[in-house]
Amino acid sequence: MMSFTSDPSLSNQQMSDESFIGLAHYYDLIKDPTYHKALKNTTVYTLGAIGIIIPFSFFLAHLLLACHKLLRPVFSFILIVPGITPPIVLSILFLLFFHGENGILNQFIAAPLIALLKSLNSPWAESLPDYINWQKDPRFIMFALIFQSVWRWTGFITLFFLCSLQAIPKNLEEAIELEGASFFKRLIHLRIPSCSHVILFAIIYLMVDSIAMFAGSYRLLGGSGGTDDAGLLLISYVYQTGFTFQQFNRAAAISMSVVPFLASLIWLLFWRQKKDELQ
Amino acid sequence: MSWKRHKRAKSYLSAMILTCVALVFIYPFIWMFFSSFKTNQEIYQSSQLLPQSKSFIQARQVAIQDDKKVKNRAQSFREKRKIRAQIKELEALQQRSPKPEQAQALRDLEQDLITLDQVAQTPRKNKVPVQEEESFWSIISNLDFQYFDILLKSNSRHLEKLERKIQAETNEQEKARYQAEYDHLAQYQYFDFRKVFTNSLLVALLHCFGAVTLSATAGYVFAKIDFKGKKFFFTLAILVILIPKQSLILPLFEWINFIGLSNSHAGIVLPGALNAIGLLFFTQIWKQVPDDLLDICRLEGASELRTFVHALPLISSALLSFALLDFIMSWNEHLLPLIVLQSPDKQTLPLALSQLMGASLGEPLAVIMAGATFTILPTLTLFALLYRRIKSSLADLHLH
Repeated sequence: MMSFTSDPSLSNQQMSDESFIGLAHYYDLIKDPTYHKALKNTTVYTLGAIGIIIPFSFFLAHLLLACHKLLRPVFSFILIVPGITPPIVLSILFLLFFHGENGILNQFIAAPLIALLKSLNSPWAESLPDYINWQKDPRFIMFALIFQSVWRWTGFITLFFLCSLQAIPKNLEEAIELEGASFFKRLIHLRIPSCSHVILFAIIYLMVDSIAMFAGSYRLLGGSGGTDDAGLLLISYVYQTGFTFQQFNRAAAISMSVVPFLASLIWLLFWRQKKDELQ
Repeated sequence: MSWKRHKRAKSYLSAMILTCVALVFIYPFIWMFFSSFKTNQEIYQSSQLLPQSKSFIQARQVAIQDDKKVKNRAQSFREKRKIRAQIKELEALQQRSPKPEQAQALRDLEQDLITLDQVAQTPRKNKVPVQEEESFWSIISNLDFQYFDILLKSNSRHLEKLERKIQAETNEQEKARYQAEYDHLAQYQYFDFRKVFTNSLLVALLHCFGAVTLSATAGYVFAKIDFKGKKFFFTLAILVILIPKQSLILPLFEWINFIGLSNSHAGIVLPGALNAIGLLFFTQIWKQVPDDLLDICRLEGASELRTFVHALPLISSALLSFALLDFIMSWNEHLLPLIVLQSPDKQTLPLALSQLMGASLGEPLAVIMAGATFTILPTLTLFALLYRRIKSSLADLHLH
């Protein structure tokens, strides 16, 4: 309801009351370039995270399945550790890892790599700085955020995949092996279909999580969108509008604007479940 | 035979790859733990994982002063690039208007470049490299927990206690000792760690209790009892609740203010008690419990509530694992406490940690690392203890 009323202006806060203004906030949003930027960033972030996490964790689940029985819990526990850590701790660690000149990532990986590229005179290395400033350089903020998400969620999704891979009936595996199917055939015809509901669940879970992503970017970028708003995600924008600029009703409109999208995602989940039940 | 060997090779190979990946995943945490023993300078500049002893740090300082070129490789690359750029500039100037002092500067720069190159190429023969004398175990056994001490004790409550002790003490020596401790701790005035930790624990436990009770009951109703409009209500419940709290944070904030729960722990616990994932989870779980068992209970003349209570042990594993997951989630929650809790004595751990990080320019980072270690310790321990149960109840579900 809040999103349909106007924001009291700051100068005469006591005087003016909130009044009903209908869809004006939503109309403003359609024209707001910052909102577009936040939407675009959120989309890139979501797609990037899903595109990396799901294949990677499927691969890891296969590795876990192949390795010795006693080692399985150890490895999967280690993989899950970032997942059960508060995002705030993750981003503190990240802050130090991605730290401008002296961060570990820069010292060990990025700087030698960039130096190598420069010595090879590769054309696109010219525009790169000596050190990548992960939090300030608008080209790399998104990468840092996605990396954080991958680090965090891969373990959990791997566990789900492992569960559903182990739940495949033994006789099906043996039958397909007797048929002489190659590894890829087995993958396509048996393993991916049997994991399909986990994949769908993981996609929806990651989407909801990345739309709701806040703590990581809050700590990494200090509640703002970073340089040039390159890391401005939707919830950061809500926080910024609501608590930094004190425009609560407008912020409510922003957060309500993604609700239809999320609702359709959930509908997708149910539709899929119903289809399963019919079969 | 060869099939068996193939299988074993596969298992070794996958174990190796997994070890690498696991190392990448866990390394920051190990680094975090050891960072809580380091000084700021060491954290930022040293690439060593283990904290060094004081003598080693001094020796390294001397070595650095002896040879200015003992810098990391990237640094020298950078200097060379700078010099090259300067040379280019000077040459361009020279072509337009030749000047003697510019020519001199150019020669100097070229000379610098050559020396830099030489240092990078020739191995340092006559210099004795700084040897790390201490072994891994001696470092581990001699860890100095001073920063943990600072984190736990440098708050106003402990300082007041110390002050009282100083006033009551008559022995001069003891008094001086307490005074020294007081002065040391008074440099850093942090949050009251014990209080914040208790807050966090309380909120997480209440949150988890509420969520488990509500979701288990709701799941039972949706799975076992038929009523009109069940499907509609189920869909509605999911629709309303599965939309992330974060995106509804502002209406929620207004609402909490309206009820008057702002700046209280109930303001965090109550919104968290409604949990769509829990509802879905428990509906699935209850569907797997056979109806016959419940019917036996009802035939014996038990009321519906009693039936529910008696059926609870059947899903104990699911209850436990959901409780654990919810505990972890609420322990990690950051946004809701950030907007609901205003007064510092009601803060939860993530909040306090984030404030510490925000305020710590020049403060010892090791204290933050110690705090972070304490933050992840409870959840990690719980998870490690109950890992098998969680895994089995996940596997039981087949679907998520």
